[in-house]
Amino acid sequence: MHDGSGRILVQGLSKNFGPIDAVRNLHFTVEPGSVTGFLGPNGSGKTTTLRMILGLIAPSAGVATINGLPFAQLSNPGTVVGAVLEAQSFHPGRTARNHLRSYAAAMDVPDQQADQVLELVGLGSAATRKTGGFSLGMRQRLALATALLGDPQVLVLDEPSNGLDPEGIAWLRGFLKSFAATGRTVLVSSHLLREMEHTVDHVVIVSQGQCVYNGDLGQLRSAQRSRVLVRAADPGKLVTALQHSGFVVEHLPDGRLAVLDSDSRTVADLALQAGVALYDMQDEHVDLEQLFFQLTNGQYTGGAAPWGGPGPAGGAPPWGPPGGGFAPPAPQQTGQQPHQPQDAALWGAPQQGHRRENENGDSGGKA
Amino acid sequence: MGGLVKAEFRKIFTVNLWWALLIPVAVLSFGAGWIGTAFGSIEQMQEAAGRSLPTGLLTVSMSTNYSTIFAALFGALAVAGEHRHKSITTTYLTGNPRGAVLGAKLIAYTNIGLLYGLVNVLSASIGGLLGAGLDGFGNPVDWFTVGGAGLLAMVLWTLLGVGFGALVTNSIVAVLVLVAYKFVIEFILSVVLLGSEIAGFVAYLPGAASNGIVGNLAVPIFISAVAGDSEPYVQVEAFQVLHFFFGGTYGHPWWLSLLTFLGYTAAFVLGGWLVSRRRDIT
Ligand SMILES: Nc1ncnc2c1ncn2[C@@H]1O[C@H](COP(=O)(O)OP(=O)(O)O)[C@@H](O)[C@H]1O
Ligand SMILES: [Mg+2]
Repeated sequence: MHDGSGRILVQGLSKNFGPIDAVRNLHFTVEPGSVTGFLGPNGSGKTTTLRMILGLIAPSAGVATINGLPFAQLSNPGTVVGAVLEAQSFHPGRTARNHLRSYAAAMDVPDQQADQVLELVGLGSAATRKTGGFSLGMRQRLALATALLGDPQVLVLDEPSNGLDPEGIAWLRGFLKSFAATGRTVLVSSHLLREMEHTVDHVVIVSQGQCVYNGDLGQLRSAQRSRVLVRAADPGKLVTALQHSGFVVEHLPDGRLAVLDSDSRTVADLALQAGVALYDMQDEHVDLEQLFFQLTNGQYTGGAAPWGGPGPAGGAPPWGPPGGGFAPPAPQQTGQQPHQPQDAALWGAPQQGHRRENENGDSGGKA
Repeated sequence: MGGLVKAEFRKIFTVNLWWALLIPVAVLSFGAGWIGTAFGSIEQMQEAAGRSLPTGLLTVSMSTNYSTIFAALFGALAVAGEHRHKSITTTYLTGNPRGAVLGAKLIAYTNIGLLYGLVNVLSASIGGLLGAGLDGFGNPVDWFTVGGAGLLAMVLWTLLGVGFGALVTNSIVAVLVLVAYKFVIEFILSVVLLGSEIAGFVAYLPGAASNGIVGNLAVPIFISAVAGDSEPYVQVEAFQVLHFFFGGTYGHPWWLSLLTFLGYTAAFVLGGWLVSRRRDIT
């Protein structure tokens, strides 16, 4: 029997399709009670990972467990975990209700459940229509209804907002949050961080099959920084004044200065005091999406500026871990999810940094 | 497991395929029964023999040999159809382990095979009644024997189809290969084999074996009815002509055909199970 924890455990999961390493040594835990985002660009291995968790793809190495058991050992799995996956569909000649009733029989749940989930996803009026005539959005809703049919404790969704209208997306977000709020588990993948930003609490970000960030979203957000780009009549003098006030300043190739962790007003005041004329000033913010983009492009290893600025930065990489003021605060300083002890080395080596000590992750074990 | 079987029945009866493939079975079997019993040479034989002949048994055999292909196609789409419509993911997500899903399908499809078999035997018999009247069926025991063999052949073809579909998963390939094998490939194989040293192996080819389940019962029954006491003097050619049209091989026992075809069915089911157990569903 499974342990009923609602926890998904991924340990050293790898998968290669011939020469393609789709997933490389992934480790992460998905805890109940919150929505976990599984993020990465197209082709980064999200679908493959989710399908391995669900027993649909055999891993090349590693294991994934749900409630302490590999999927293949769950009895009546539809009542433990529900899933909405890409490339999952229905017989076009079968009505929505008959589709659901077929699987209700497989899961030994009452037939009325089929109508209940149809109502829940807003397809009540389409119950007797054949799914072949359904729009993409209706299909997504029916897929969600199927996932919910067994009243599962764990929900796994692969890019569920594909094809949904904005209203549907908003509804889905609310639904996932309330589902998780009842103490159940939600793992949802997306290639857009922005889309998930307001839904997820915890994120696992993958790039090219490897984990590049695993931690709290709030913590990632606090890594957002702003800087001021300024063109001064006498850059040298302004740099001296700024550094005197404790600011980190960089020279951009186009002759401008970048003042980190500052705002235009402060810089203007300091320039006035120093008697330096300013010609041009601009505030810049890195938003989550840029951060995500950067994480998943391997740029965190140094080099190009994250600002979309002109070419490679002349000076030190502004995001470099040691000196640059852009490294995210140490995890200890930020609000931690209690169940996620970790060393979220945002800029560290992608893999090793995320191996967590298994102090509580294993309680369910492979009993 | 009961739930999984029920799910398979619901999947079957909530789409049109089961009756779409059953219609040709009914029509072909009825036609074979009706026209077959009015077959010229048989009528001549009947006149020559001077008594009514159980030609209905022969046409049940013939209709079975042709209509089993529809049961096989229906069976093949049990798993391959789910791959085609991408519902296999949901099926595996709600049924554990995969072997249980295949088992449930085999149970459900056995019943459909029986249904196809019944429709075949009854349609062929009704056609035979129209063509030859009640006399065309001879002894009721013979009719039940031949009819029962027809059911068996139909069920086994259905299950072979399920196994084959699970093995190849591509529904188009599964359908094309089954049809091509049944109507072209085995014919070529037998022609080649017949000219070789191992001509006797022809009776063990899948198609010949399945035809033999019914044909190797129906033809000897028919001959003994025609020839009566003089059966030992019937020329081998007479048997061979009848076997050629109505299935089976001269001197080959029906149970050996059954065992042979059972072997093919088991091989495909086992192969389908082994391969689908660990296949990646992407
Ligand atoms: N069945 C398959 N055969 C070969 N390569 C595959 C297969 N499935 C996925 N891949 C490859 O594995 C990588 C990860 O794919 P996928 O998991 O679908 O990524 P994502 O869901 O993040 O877009 C991609 O390079 C993809 O081309
Ligand atoms: Mg994907």
